[in-house]
Amino acid sequence: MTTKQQESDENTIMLAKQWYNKAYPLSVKLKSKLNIQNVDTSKWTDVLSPYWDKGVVFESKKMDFIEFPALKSGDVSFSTKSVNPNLFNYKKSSSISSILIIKRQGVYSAYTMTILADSAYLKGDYGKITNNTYSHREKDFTGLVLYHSLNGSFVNGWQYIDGVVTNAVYEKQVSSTGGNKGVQIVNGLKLNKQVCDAVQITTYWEDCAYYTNDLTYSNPFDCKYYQTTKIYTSCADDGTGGGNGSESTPPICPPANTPPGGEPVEVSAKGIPKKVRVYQPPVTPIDPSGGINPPGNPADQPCLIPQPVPTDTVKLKDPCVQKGQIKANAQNANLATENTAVYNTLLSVDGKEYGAEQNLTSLPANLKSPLMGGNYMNIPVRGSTTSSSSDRFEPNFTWDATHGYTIGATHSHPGGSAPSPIDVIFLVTTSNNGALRLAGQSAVDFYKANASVTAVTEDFNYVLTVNDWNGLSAQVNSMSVDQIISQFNSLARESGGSTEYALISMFGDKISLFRAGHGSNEYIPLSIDKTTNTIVLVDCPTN
Amino acid sequence: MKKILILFSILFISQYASAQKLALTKGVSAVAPQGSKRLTKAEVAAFVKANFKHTEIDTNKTIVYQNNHLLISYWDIYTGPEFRRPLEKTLKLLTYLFKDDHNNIVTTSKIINVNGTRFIILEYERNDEVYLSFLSEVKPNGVNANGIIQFKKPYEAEAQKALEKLLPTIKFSVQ
Repeated sequence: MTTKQQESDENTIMLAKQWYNKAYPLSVKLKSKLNIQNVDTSKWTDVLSPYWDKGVVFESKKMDFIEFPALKSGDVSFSTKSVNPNLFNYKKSSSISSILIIKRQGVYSAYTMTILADSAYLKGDYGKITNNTYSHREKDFTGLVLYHSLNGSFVNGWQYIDGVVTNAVYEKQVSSTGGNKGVQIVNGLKLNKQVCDAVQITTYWEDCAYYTNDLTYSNPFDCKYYQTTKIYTSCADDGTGGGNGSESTPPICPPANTPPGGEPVEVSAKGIPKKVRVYQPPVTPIDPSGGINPPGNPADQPCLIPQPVPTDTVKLKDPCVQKGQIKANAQNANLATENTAVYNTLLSVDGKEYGAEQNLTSLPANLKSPLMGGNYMNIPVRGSTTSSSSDRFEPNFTWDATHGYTIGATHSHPGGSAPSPIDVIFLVTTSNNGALRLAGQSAVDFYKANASVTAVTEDFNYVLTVNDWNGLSAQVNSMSVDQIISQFNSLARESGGSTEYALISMFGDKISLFRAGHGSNEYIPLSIDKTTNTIVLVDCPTN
Repeated sequence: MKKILILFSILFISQYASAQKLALTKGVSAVAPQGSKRLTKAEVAAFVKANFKHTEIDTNKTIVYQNNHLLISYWDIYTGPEFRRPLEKTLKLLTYLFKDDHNNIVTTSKIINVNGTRFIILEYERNDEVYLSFLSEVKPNGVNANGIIQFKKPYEAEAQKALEKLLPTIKFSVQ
């Protein structure tokens, strides 16, 4: 027997299906038996599709929400751990994806919703994650919820601790050198009134072939395995906004055309040092206790609209002039102490990177003059704090009078390599930091003119600077972190182990690389001789 | 009659071997394992497309052969005096780089000595494709020899045998 409500739901689903099939026509047609489909993982509709028979309909604030379990052609899973994709165990996945179709004022939109549970929440029970849906959230749920559009682009996300939203998640907006981190906020990066943390999420893809009559993708064969990696940032307002008459730093706005949510409320949770102000999920008729926060930001939430980076003419700095600046900065007593302390860690046998930020105590009166020396903070050297497989040092970034103005970082490279692409990514991401941008264009220009990363090895100290920020940013953003690392390592192997060659070969004139012998501040620019295609020291004119 | 046959055989083998001996631009020469066929760039691309998902062999810099299931390449590099380092440090560096490389997994990293020349042997896997690479010490004139044998996992023994044959044939203009 069918009730009126069931009839109404079936009708809602049917209309949504009609819209979906028109909006996302099946691009991969199933062929005859044993024909293999090649799935393009950038187009999620090739991999995930709504399980129409299992849609759940509910209405909230005059919007229709329909949640469908995702039918998966092959498999897709998300993890904060990075392993060989061939070895990833999809049966022990800590993530689950579903498709959400929303109808608002007659207009449809569709998202994939991925719930990525924290291991502390699952406690080894991987089935527990299925207790969470858009309309129902377990009281102690801890983890991330990520929304993507169906073309694979990230929309927004939320972090939960013990069932409470604590953070908003963005895509690669705040400084990070990558590295694997759990979803809990540990040693958060404090940006004015925001506390942010980097989260590296790896997506594992299983690409399989199916028989044409296998409509529920139950019998895969000829499977291939891939992975893609992205860095996200998880940020919370620390709730101190309004103190001293200042406003809290708003988050970066996610894409527009998103449904409104509820009013912000103050919450506190285990592991969060302060109360945070966040929007809670809308109350739904299905579960009055609340489900998952909706895709998109509430329309009335104050947020920063990212401004396009101005296209300025690229003026390459003369490395022979720049080396004087690098020498002057390296001679600063606090920076020299940091570099010596970093060098001494190379004697340790743990093989991990150690380092410290290079933070100015104050900004110079004239931000247009090149930084020559300056007042640097004395920051103790520390090791990699992650408990994951990454041994990378991960610098924090601050741009305020209390914590200092991060103009660079120094760290060890125990393997003896020059700065890596991860160091390049650090510089690019910090140049887009929210606190830095809020400080104004002159602050951004000052940062770009003076930012550097130092890598300390047993034999040499290297300093990396940027010439072409826009070009570098475009290059870095065109590839995944894994692709960048693979390309760099391949170039290093091809050149007989020259990481200097690999870095310059990869980024060209967009960067400058300098090298000084251990204990010396006489930095010499490096370059690739175009005739011999070998790495050389630049012969600078004597002053 | 028997003597004539032996003489022909020797002549044939020496001609075959000399046809496979190729000098690189910086003075390194090597003899590809018997049965190898030198490939053009287009042939390398076709072989890679048919057999692999990916390759690290740069046909602009290398001499490439196909030997049954193997793609064998080698090239030489000049390194300026300021950038030379002991083979042990190069091995440490190359191994360290793999720490952040989630696409490749190292299975072998060692230094061996072949006829007085030391080589790093580095073997790494990417899915079911394997790279068996070598990198020699830098000779006094700054030149060293490098190579990669790329193959599918089932052909490991074939690749090891090819490497065993190839390394002793590598000659430098300056020893």
